[in-house]
Amino acid sequence: MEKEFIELITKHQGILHKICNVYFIRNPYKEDYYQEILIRLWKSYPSFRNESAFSTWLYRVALNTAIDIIRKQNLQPVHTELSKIDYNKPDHENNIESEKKEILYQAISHLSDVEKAIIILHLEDYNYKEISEIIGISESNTGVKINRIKTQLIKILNHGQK
Amino acid sequence: MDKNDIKSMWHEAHNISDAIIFDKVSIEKAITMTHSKIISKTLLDIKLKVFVFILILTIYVGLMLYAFVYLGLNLSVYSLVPLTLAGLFLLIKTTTEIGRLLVLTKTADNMSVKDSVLFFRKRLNRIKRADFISYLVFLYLSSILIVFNYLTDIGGTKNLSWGNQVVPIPLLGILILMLLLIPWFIKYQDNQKYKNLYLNLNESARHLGCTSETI
Repeated sequence: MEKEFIELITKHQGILHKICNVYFIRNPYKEDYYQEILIRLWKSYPSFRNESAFSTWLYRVALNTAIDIIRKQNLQPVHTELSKIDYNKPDHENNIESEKKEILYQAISHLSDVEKAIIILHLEDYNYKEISEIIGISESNTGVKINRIKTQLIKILNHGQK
Repeated sequence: MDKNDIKSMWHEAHNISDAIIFDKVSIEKAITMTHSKIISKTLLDIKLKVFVFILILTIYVGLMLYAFVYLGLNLSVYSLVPLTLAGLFLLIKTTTEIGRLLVLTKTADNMSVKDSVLFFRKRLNRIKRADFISYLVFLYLSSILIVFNYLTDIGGTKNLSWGNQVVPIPLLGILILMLLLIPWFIKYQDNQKYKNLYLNLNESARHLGCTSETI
């Protein structure tokens, strides 16, 4: 099971990368949170029953974990010294290759945690039905939300380009 | 820029490079851990606090039992009040930290985002309610016991002394009032402690279209 999980995660690492960038773009603990998401994926893996695509399940657990981490930071701020000591800043930190990527992530960072989850799934080409299942809202509501979020993002992007 | 441009912008941005960026993190190593280092450290800090408070509380209870049951010590109210307050303080601190630990370790990753928010909110409410009810029961029963003891004069309660003077009824009244108010103070304190967490949960619930009945 472990080997299978590692193979699947390696194959879908891009998803985790995107989720971490969306939720922890300027966070010095990004690498650590990535690791936490991995750990919680592994803990939840026995419950994955192939009823949905692995990537769908991965999004569900990873998004819940990322939102959970942010939520709980409100209750207990993370230890501030450890990451400076134990972790070197990753080479890629703040070195997002594309300017477009940088602008886009910056714009998305203005959204709420739930809006971030919805838009990342939409941008990753998930249809309304799949998004509604992962998020837990109706398909029609998903469509409305996506439209609103996109309008909001365009406003942010245009404002930033002025 | 129109709405479709966002999607193409996203795809263009991620076409450039989506190489394995977190190469320092070994997946094999990660899955042998219980939590990431930073989360472990945060939880360890709270566990350590809980351990210290439980230890002090145990020593306190042990000493009280030794003094009052084994040695049969008979202290004046003057000595009993600070001792009781110290015990209450330890109890409050211990349960507060246990509550915080319980909240931090509860997760619901396999559910939909909406169900996860609702599940977490329910758990948080349950922890808060249990905290409040346990104080309410413990302190209200203590108050009833004090009043009952006073009325029936068990153990000469009516002649309890404070600096060689019989304790006046208003003083006992204030003590009872304090005991009755503490659970409500704890409730207020909990609301303050979890304020930001509730703000976050409420915001998520609003975006997910949760009605007031569901949360």
